[in-house]
Amino acid sequence: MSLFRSHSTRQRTILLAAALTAAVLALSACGGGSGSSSEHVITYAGWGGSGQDALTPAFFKPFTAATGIKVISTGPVDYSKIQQMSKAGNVTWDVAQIDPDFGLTDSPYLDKIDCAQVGCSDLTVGGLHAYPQGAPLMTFSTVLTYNTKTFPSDPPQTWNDFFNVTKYPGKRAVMTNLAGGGNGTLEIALLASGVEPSQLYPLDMDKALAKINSIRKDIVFIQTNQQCVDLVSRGDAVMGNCLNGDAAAGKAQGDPIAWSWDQQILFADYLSVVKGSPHEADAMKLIQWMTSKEHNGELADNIAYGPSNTKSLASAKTAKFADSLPSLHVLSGTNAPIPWNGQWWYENAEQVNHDWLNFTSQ
Amino acid sequence: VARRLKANGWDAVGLPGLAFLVLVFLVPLAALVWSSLSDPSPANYTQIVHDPVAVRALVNTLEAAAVVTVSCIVLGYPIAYGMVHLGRFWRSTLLLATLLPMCSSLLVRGYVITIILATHGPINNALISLHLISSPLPLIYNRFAVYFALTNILIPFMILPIFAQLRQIDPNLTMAARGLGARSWTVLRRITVPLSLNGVAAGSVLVFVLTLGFYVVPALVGGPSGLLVSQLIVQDIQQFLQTGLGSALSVVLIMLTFVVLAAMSRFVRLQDLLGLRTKENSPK
Repeated sequence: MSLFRSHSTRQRTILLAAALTAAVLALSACGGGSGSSSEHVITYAGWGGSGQDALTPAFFKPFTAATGIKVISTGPVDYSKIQQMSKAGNVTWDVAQIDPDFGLTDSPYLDKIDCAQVGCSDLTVGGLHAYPQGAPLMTFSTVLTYNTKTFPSDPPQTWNDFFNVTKYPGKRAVMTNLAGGGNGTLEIALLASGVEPSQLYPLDMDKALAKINSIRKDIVFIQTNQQCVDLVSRGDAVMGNCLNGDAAAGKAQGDPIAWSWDQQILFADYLSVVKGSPHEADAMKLIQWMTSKEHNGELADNIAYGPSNTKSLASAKTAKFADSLPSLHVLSGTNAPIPWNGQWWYENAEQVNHDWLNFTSQ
Repeated sequence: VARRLKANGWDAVGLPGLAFLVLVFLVPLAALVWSSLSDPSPANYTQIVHDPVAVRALVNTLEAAAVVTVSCIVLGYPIAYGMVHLGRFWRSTLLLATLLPMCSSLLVRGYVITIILATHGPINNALISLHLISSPLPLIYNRFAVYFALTNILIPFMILPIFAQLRQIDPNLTMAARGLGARSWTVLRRITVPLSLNGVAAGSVLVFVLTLGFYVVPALVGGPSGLLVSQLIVQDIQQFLQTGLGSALSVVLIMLTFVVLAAMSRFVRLQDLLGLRTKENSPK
């Protein structure tokens, strides 16, 4: 008798354990259900860091206050994620901040920008333009950033100086990865080789790599943009082609760095709606807001990234970071800014990346 | 010995775990193989063979695994030996020093290593202030940094199997050898080391295989010239959006791991390593 009872108790325990496990699995499977669809909430994917933090006070808060549409800010942007979520028809990012090397002309993963709603024709600062699937949000640039303790007088000013290791000895911080243009390392190598800015594209890969190879032992390859400013300010590198926003932030906190605006390589980040977004109308409203002449300049109160809307330039002049904005330091003649050609990069990405990997991995 | 074939009721408790494994391991693995063959075609594999970057990454990966394994043996064996022979205090101290770092986050350890090896970090600063070098050594963002970091992280997987093996050596053997006039060097060379080789082999398999697939730390401390397969896979999938090519490389890496395991199984019983051999079916 007692034997039977103990057996049935054991069976019950086993059943209970199995049922519990099943219940836990079932619960976790349906835990991800979303809220009601009548609520206006959109998700914005940016690149993270200080650049994304600045978007909330500049755009999202006032946008929600004015329209009632809540914005969830997330990231970092990952092209493969956009591809997968759009393919799978389960789009959780409505608006994404994208570089043109993803393809903003005929990407199967993005919606067309509604230029009747978004003022595309005004988004032309520094030679920029809207793509069919991307509206430029802001401008930033790559500038020759150097350590002021290493070079207290006659500091390096041009990309020629960047490649002159005799006059300016020391390490150069250069991005390992060419995603988003790799801070224009190929472009500056060609400029230093004497290529005219107007003749820069199509990039002559062999020529660019030969120039970079000439200072190879003086290059420190870095992984993130922040490392560029970190290494230069610590003296681990004496200069780098750093992002102007990072350089301005570093200088503001007392790092011994300065930079030259000569031939800054001008980049822009673009706003796109991911194809299949369940909130397309609200997403387009947000893009319209962020690029409008009334609001586009407000970013410069929060970080050293400039407006893309020509009609916002005036308000940016009085912004907190006006001193460090690429769009307000447009030099003339041969020192003029060089717009990065994202479309060319998109069309040639495979070959460029392959040649670069082959070069750097040797 | 007759194997018990009748299922025990408790075996059912293992089913959810088995289902979990099938769901999160076997199914994705099959999807990975399928993607490598169909996205866009099996030509992914020929592309790998003809791509100098992929071949270089494979060579780099094998080289890194070999270097890290050897340095783990060289540095780990004396520690394991010390644990057995230096008395209780040192045994617990060394054991703690071996196990404690494993409890902290890999990412944190990676960042700590970037600080230690930095151009103006503690090692370079100490060497400069001792006037041993005049300008900082290139310690970080290169192959050396990857070897250094992986040795640091994986050395417990070498120390523990050797320690376990050394403890099993009958102390009477060494006493007998000494009694017969062998010097301590001879005892080490002819008794201790040969009897602990199983532990060394087990540790080597673990360290070698773990190095093959390591991603985070090499990405943090390495440089482009030491590109590993794991890094290339991430780039192919995340940046170049070539999921099929990345999948094919992953499959190649898995095959490589199997080849290594098969080759090592000639020297070490894998079932010992994985604890699959029970007293019941082990030879007397």
